[in-house]
Amino acid sequence: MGIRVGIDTGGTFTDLVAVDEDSGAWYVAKVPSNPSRPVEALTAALEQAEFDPGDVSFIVVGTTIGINAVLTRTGARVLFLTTKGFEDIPHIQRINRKNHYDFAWRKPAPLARRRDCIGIDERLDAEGTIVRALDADEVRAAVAEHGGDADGDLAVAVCFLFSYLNPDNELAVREALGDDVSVSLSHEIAPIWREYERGTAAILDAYLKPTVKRYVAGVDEALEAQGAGARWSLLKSNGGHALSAESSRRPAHVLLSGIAGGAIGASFYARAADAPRGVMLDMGGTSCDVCLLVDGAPLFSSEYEIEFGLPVAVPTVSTKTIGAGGGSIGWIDPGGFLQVGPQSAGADPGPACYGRGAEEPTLTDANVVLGRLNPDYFLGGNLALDASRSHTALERLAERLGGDAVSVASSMVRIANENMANAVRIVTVEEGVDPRDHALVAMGGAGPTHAAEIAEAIGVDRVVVPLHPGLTSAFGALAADVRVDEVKSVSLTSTTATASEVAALFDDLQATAVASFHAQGSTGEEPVTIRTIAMRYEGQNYEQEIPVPDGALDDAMLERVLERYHELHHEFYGYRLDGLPVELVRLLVTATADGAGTLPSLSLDVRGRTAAPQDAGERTADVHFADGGFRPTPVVARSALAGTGERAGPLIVESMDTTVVVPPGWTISSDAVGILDLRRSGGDTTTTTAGASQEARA
Amino acid sequence: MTQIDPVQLTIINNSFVNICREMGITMTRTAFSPIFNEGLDFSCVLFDRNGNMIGQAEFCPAQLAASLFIVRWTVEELGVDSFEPGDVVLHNDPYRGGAHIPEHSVIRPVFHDGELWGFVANVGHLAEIGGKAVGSFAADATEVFQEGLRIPPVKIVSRDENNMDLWRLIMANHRTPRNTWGDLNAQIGSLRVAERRVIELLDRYGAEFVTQAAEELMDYSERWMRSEISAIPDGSYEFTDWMEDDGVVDEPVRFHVTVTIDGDRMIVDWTGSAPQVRGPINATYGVTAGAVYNAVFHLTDSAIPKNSGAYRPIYIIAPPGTVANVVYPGPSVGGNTETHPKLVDMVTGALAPVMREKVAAAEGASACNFLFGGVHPKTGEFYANYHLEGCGWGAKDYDDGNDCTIVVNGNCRNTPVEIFETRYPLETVEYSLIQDSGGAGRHRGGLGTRRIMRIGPGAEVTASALFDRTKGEFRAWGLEGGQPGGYGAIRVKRAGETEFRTFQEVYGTVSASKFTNIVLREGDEVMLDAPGGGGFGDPLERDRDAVARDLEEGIVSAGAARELYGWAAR
Amino acid sequence: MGRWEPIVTQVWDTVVTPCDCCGQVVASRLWVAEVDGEEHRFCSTRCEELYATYVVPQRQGPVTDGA
Repeated sequence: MGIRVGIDTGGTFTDLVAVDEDSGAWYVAKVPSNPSRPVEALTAALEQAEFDPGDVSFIVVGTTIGINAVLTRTGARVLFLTTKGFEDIPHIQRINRKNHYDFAWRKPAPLARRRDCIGIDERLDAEGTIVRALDADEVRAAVAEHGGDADGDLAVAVCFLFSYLNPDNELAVREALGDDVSVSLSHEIAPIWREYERGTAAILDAYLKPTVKRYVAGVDEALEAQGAGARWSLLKSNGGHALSAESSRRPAHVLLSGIAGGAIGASFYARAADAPRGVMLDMGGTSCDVCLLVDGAPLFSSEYEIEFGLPVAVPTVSTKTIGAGGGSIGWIDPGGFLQVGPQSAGADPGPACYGRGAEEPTLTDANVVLGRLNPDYFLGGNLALDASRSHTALERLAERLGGDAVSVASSMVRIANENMANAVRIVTVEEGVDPRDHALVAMGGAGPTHAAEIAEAIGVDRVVVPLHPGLTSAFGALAADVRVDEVKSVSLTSTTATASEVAALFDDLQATAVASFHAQGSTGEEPVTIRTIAMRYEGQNYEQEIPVPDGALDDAMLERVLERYHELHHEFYGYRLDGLPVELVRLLVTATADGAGTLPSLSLDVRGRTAAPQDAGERTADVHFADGGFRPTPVVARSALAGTGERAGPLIVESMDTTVVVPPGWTISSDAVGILDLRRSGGDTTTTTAGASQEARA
Repeated sequence: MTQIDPVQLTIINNSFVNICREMGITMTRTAFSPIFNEGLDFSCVLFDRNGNMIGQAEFCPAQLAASLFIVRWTVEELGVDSFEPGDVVLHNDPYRGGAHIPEHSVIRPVFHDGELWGFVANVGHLAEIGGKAVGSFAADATEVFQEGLRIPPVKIVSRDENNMDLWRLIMANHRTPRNTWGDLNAQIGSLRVAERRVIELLDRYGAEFVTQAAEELMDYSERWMRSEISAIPDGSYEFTDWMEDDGVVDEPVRFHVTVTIDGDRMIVDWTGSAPQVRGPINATYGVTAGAVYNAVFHLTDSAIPKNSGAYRPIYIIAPPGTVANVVYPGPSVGGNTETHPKLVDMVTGALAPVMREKVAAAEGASACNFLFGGVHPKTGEFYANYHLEGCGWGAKDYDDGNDCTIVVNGNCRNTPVEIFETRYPLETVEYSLIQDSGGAGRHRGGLGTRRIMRIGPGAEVTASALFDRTKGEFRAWGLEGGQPGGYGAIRVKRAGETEFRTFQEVYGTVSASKFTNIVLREGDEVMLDAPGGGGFGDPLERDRDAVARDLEEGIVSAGAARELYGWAAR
Repeated sequence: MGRWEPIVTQVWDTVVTPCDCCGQVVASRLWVAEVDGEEHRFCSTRCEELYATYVVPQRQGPVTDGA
């Protein structure tokens, strides 16, 4: 077996979590990130970890190499081949505006220059019939002419109209160009309609090819040198992982590798805490990521946007990010109202209490003044906070707003909490689910501090706090499984499609998915495959995905699946249209490893953390709560909670990563392993009642 | 300053906006017409029981403004006591606040503990509503009766029961009744979502508290807007602009505005605009007011919460019977997309001398409305579609204008070619940026696009169009020496011919830019050119690196670079 | 002082009434007031004020044509 490792490359830090699959011992490491030399941070983390790199059996890496290349515009020069007459699609985009009243907004620049967008004389019609076939000579001449002078990385992306119905012309391009240049074909990367979205996915893939290839080669080399020449994978945007060689073939799929880890980690903990419906709340220094978790897996979306107007049409963990973090700055808007974020003090200069010269108050300062954060035990005692600076910063705001440092701090926390509560509401509403029957999985350095009060704002009554909440992304990388999403665009209608036709298409798709699954790094076992059909009423443009139960896909089952579509439509939107044909537009097969991750038992006890020893006993501190102000509140170490049964709030639980705030009206318990479970016991007067909202839907 | 804690107010305001957003998400997912689900041509709003707007979400700016009047006037006309739980009132009357006749508003009262608390409403553009032109954009209509079925405020749903007689009457007068059924249901469905959320909010905070919060939020917005207006130098600022023709009479139409800044209030007076014209480019009151607010929001802090309070310091005078406020039975279908953006630009243009760092030069200001329909040769089903284009936007003192972006009164997306060809029997031949169509300047205006479509095998397509800026002196104007943007155009090349010519030349329509019901057949091609935006500043002062980039990227031709920008090869 | 006058319509009246000052639709009742010697029908007292403080002085002053 050996040591299984998960690594997460964050903006500021690179985290490592590892487990010895034989002995069950856990290891962690944390090193500063270096965005310009990403391989170095990875090797430094392995160096710091207290095990021998030679004992490593497998590594999964969540990396920001892709998204950084896009954000800093340092990817390859892309030659974009498309149907003649449509070379400007990447520049035209979708013509809508980000904001209504903003002359200053600029459309995003595409990742391919206009002069590098080349029209090829080929054409498919809306049924996928080839109207004009490809001329290989034309393609070769075009690439030679446009790309001949390339100094630096060059990659080719191809998107022909209707290629999702018939890939022949796109495949012919690859054949014409041979192996000399990397070619990204749109129908392989995102087989969906909408030429701008699909074309952008192909361009993105090409843009990242050389960068990711170099990164993979660099890591291969470094691991060899360290004696950790093990197999290793990259985390994919969809939360699965794929072997390094396979990943560099499909870089578009690892674009959001850096955010998938958190969602996988959160899902793992939702399952471990027996919460079938959850919402991840990962709150760090600058931002808060929110993601819906269903039946132990994060929700995926194919409509993620890097920025407004720049879509990524491959399945991605559906995370919403808002500018609310420990470093979010409190400020006064021109109307005289207090706002919090999205501007952030980051880590440098950081909150006022870091003493690095910042004068504006942040959420961390607010929490210090409210007694929730212990200035002597921040980051396990590794960073001493100066509470007096927090007071000064907040008093400055109080002069303009009225009140005092404490009232401003309390308001800042409430506003930030409400912003995060809104983010949770949006991700649940977009899926048509009610947030109130979900559990919040609170992660990041600041998540557990705010989660219970955010839960109150939404009407949620359960919060789960993972072990080492600051390392959940790295843990997610470790816990990730191979996961393959195979998609096929089809054009079928409920009135004419036969069950056997659909079954045959699914059989093909399943075979492809299983083959990919093995290529991406399975350990030989057969995957579990789940079939889904994306459908919509004839005439609509947006689909809903309906799962197909296991078993033979016969007429009766197809009927049931269609009926489920009508039901869901009615549930979400309040009406159904029986009698209207239903279009089946996409078949999806997901192949994942069987069973939840077979990891050794979790433990709070890990090797590699250097924290000041915590008092096993309790102390009391004055902590401020919205309902009643300051009150004496017990403060305990997290390690002391294990096995002590349920305790009632108010209570503060300290650990190296984070501080957990248990407000009045809540209880907290720790399971055998150390996962914390907060439950609202009712009795808090400021919370919502379900009441009249349970009315019947029309 | 406020009685309620400002933190609570921020929270309540965010809740209002969120509820409207949720309404919109529901609409996008369930509507049938591409104009809804791709175009996003709808809006969602929240009102108190007095008809004051207390929340809106960012969907379609023109509709958001018009809904201010639609809801208030409907509630006043029907009487607040005539509403019962479960009712939905429907109307599309352009004289009662609507922007133009295809926009249908649905309004639902929200009751809480038996009391009427407020209203939720939704405005959406139905692509086909009868009238003389397929696609309901009768570019040569002379009266409202030709534009489509006009519905005054009526109850389409009574106590959660559909009024089927009314539904059937409406669908009998639309050419694509199934889309009407689907789209109106989508609109009404989203109202129910919003109603649930409002009730949850009232349960959580208490109805009186939320009402009080809404009032304070309106006062807050009003204060903020007044402070923004006070910062503009007092004075009277005028601007004149033109529509090239009205679709029925081939003569330019004059619009005039005087913007007066008087301390903390702004008066926008359209006196001096021409009497209303025979063709449908007249602005309704909803269009004119919408355009004024649109301009003001662009020139002031966009963080001001958009509620009725924000509109209070702005006074609008739109003399009835002029092109700025059409009266019955004058036509107005083109006013929303073709007149509104011109009016916005006029207000911006009037204030440009005293707000130069906030303004932009004129945008293309035409949505290039192209309406078409017929029987699909493959399915035998009737279809109709409302197609539009993005135009170039005006440059600013600090940056170029955006290329091909939707007109300022809307926020629609284009329909992808793949979706378009799947649904309609037209093949797209080309869709590209038009070189040199951005007005030259120190900062360049945005480019327009060219789209060429060919009628497919076996198809007969009835087409109408409503464009502007295709001729004469009426291109998008520049500022401070910036040049005007490129022309828009709509041209046709019949099967077997070699040249694109205007519809006026080929079919003898009164206007080259506005016509209805021309029948196109297999092999005929249509070319749609969208106008470009105006430039800002002297083109000779344009940064040389920027000119080099424009040349390399083909945005600007070598000839234009030399003649307009004074480019000498390095 | 002005007075409120209800707008009475027959079922066959499909035309709306505009305010003399601003052009807005007056839905149910008019504010009738005398300004500068003439009786006008307004949508509200706010418009009576606007008429008196802006429209009347405008008409008396020179009206220039803009650009």
